[in-house]
Amino acid sequence: MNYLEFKRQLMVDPYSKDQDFLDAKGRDAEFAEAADEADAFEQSLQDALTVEVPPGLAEQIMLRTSIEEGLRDQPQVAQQKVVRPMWPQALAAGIFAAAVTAGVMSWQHATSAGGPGSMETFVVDHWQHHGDATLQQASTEFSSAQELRQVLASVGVEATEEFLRQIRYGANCPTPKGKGAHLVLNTEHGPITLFYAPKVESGTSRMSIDDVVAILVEMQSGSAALVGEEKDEDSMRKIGDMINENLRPMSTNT
Amino acid sequence: MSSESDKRRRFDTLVREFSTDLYRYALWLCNDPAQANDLVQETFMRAWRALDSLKEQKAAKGWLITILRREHARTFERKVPPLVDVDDVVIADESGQTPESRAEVNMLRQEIAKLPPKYREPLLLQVIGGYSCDEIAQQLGVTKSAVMTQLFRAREKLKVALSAPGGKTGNVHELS
Repeated sequence: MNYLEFKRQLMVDPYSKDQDFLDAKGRDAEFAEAADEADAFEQSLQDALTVEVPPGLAEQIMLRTSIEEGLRDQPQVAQQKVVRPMWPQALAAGIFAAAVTAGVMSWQHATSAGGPGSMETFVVDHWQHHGDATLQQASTEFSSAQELRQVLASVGVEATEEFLRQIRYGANCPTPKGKGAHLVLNTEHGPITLFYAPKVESGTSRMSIDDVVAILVEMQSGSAALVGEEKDEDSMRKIGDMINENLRPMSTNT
Repeated sequence: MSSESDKRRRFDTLVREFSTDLYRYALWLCNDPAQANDLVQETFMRAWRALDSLKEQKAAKGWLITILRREHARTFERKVPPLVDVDDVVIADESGQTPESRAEVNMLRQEIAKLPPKYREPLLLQVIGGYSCDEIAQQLGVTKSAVMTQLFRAREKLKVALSAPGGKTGNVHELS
């Protein structure tokens, strides 16, 4: 390999393991200098191409496939749920009435609060009508940080940057007292739904809705509910404990 | 049941091993962090659905890059990306760099972003992907000699830009 060929190889493939090329690197001072210069350039090139990767990217991907996998299995679960003879009188009245009655009965066991216009009624109703569909949507559609900020701003709150990164999907939804937010959060175990109703008051409580649980949290303004599978209750409680710090009323001086 | 958990384990290994490189490749391909994120997410979704077709684990990276390139062509190539300042796009990993090398690296980033795709992509496959010229030729569906020319031109353009006024001073040897 002559000097010209060597220089061309450095420009084309400086990572080549070709023995002639490797031998040429130390042939004399001229070759060695060219090799050093190329090494320095390649190092700069590698540094330039090494950009920071969004935190939690791998976890997000794994979560998304888990959601897809879960949703694929979900129709069978739903069928079982309808057929299961837990409330014969409700079945006699029809499947739709059964679902609503079951949900309302189970949260009434958990809390004595509730009634038309309450946070509890809203959570049961909204979950049963929109919970699964929104989770499904969130498995294929992500909200950008800007979209999430807009959704949150429309209900008078702002999220910390860390919490914002945890939200994969967000949209506005109606509540008994004006506009609310329906969010889907990433957690290491799976997706968790968060409803925020800025003008609906509630204490802190737990209730069951069909095969999920909801944790209601009193907020600085209004209330929030975290909804997820029972196995994720610990994650939900951790999020609930921090929710008032992570989701704060917007500062008025902006 | 165990085959499902094997699939999950196998997939999670791929994600942990290759998502970083794939994101970097995607970002330099489309110059947009949000699009790059979508591209990588979609690539792995497709990989998940088709994981049974990946017979050899050592072919995984090439397989993923092929999915990503096809997805990019299908979804984003029709969109003309706005001309943006690369500083607004790239979040630099600047750990361990001196101010001088940081300045050089920033300039290099600007120039890489300006490279025509036909020069930039083989360079990405070589430096980020770790591929040989033969493998790049196979991946891009062009001849090896075409890849060698493109790699030569890519480095030449970057070195010329660095040695231009305002860039780092250095020698660029014209080779036939």
